[in-house]
Amino acid sequence: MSGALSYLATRSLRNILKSLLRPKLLIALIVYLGILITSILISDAATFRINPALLQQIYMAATVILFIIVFVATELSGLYAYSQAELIWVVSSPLPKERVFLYGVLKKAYKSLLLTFILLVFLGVSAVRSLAIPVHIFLVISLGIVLLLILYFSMLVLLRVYCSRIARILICTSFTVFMGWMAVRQILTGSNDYYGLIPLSGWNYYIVSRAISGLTRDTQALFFLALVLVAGFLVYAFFAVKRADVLALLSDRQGGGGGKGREAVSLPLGGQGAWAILCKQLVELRHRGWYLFFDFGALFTCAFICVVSYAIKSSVTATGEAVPPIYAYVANAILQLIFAMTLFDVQSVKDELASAHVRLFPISPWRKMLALAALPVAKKMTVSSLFIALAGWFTGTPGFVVLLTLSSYFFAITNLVFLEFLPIGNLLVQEQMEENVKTLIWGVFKIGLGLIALLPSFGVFAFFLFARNNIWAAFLGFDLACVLLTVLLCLVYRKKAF
Amino acid sequence: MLIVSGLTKRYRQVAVVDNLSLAVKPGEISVLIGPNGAGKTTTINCIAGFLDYSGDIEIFGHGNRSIEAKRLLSLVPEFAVPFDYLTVMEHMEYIARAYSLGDQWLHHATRLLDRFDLYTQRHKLGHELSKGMKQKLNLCMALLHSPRVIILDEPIVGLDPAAIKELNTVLGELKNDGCCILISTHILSSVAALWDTAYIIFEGRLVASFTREEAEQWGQSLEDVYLAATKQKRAVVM
Repeated sequence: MSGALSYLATRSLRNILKSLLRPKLLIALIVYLGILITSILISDAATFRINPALLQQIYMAATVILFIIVFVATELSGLYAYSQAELIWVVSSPLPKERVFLYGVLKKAYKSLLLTFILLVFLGVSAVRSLAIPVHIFLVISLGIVLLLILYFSMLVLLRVYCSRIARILICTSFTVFMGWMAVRQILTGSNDYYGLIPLSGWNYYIVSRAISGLTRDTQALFFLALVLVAGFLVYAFFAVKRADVLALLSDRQGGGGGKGREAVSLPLGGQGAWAILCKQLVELRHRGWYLFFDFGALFTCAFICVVSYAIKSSVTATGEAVPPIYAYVANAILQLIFAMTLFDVQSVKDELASAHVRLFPISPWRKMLALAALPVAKKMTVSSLFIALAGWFTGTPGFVVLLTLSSYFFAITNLVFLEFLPIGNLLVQEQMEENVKTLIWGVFKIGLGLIALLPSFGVFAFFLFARNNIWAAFLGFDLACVLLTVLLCLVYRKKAF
Repeated sequence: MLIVSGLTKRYRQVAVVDNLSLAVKPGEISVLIGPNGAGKTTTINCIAGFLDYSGDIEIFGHGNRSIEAKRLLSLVPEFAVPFDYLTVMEHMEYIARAYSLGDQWLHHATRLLDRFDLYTQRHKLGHELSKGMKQKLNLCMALLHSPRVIILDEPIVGLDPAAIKELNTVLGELKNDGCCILISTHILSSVAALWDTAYIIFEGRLVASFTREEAEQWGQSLEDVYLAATKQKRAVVM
């Protein structure tokens, strides 16, 4: 990478780290670490009744979950591979294109790697009392991330230059199917050939082979599941990148070039009030029909995961073993993944509300909010319900379905409240309240955000507290932690949008 | 010299810029004017190499996407977009590195920042700057490498009167140095004393192009010609 881009990356990182060293954040960190250490001390004082192997599997599941969340969050936050500033000052600078692409890839990769490393070490030390395993897994996963990103971008560049859109979709789907088939084959046959990993390149194939050969069969299956997820996500991201044509985006954001294009698809509203807002959303959705590819991408990933889950179940029951509860964690992770995806897919309600034609509707702000949020929520619910139904069908575990339903709707409501309603509420407040009341409510809102940031700590605390006695309690605690951690991550990434 | 020939940009079926041609000679200030949605920003984004298009764009004989052309070109975008986590001086250093400027860059950067009253803010991060300061920083970044072609999209938006005056002085200096300057703006009064050639676009098409001398021969100001040309086109559309 050229000196200018290295300079840009390192200086930005340095300044970000410097800006994080603020008293409030330090206090939050100290509180967080205090709760964590207390949790570990409590758990050390008592005797663990959970099988250590199961604990390791939980850790592995957590690894997969966090890896996915971090990967997805960073990937989606970087949909528009370059920021506005980078488009103006990096893309237009006299730097070779290859270096600019490399910069984009590495920028994404280092964020993912840094976050993954922190989360893995945190969970690894907590769960398996060892630094070696998390570091080992981190190395394997980080290599995977870097290689997948390079592969992904290479494919992107090549395919965008030489292939039509249909060809791109076919090639990516074939790649995903190939990866998935290899994973299923591995799981079903139990053989130790790792052809499914060949696309990751020979060197990584060797590293991964060595790394996973020492794991149990279940953890191997989980590892493959993660790979399949990533492969499925490649398809998803491919559609996303089409949407995020960075150059067209520039024109859209600057408002000049997209003018006519937008006029061409905007239709006069029929009806009045909330119904008209809904109609407008539906009409826009139809006009931008290719956005639906996002949902298909997510559903495709979903369906693929279910097939693999079924394969896992079949292979396990064929040997006479019970279905291990670890799959509940995996299913839960996938559910959250889907929510994370749909979360970012939703058109910003705030932008809608701020737009002139919505503002002029003669209905109350709260009704506007409800109307604007109805369709996004319905979308989320539909996707999640479909997934829950599929998961229940394939795993044959109705108890999980109930649990998943509850947790998913809890998650949806959390998303809705914290990510959509509150910022909009604040917007409305800013518009309608007097200055002093605005300040008060904005202060309360910020305190609320601070409390949300602390909630994952309580989730982890609950996990360690209850895990000693009951696996289902552990599941709930873990679920809570994951949900809140996801919300926290989403908030962090979503902050830019607001 | 900046030469744009037969530039066409389509979004799906809609031609946002349609067969546009223009040329900016060294030592000349051209203005690109037109109503909202006329295609000015799209034209600029095509020239800067951000968008795919059909037609030809050359910068001193080089294709606009070549490294050579990028070395000669500078763009000041409509909306100031500094890097959030670089300080003002780090922005300048980044440009110096990207354009491989020699050791003299620091002196030049200091002078530029001082001219636009930004030197005292040099340790501030991009996201800590006000809108006007961001715009000033973008101007300084665009000017640091002494471009031969500079494109300014609504350059005075957000600037205080002192900065507008300084910008006009800088543009005059660039013009005297033989730089090609293309300004896109709605605010005709801001370029009334500067312009040499005007290009009026309406719905993506070039509807009039003329020099200051021609306008003076007609006895009309830039605003008069603009209003006449766009009024005529609006009448045709209706």
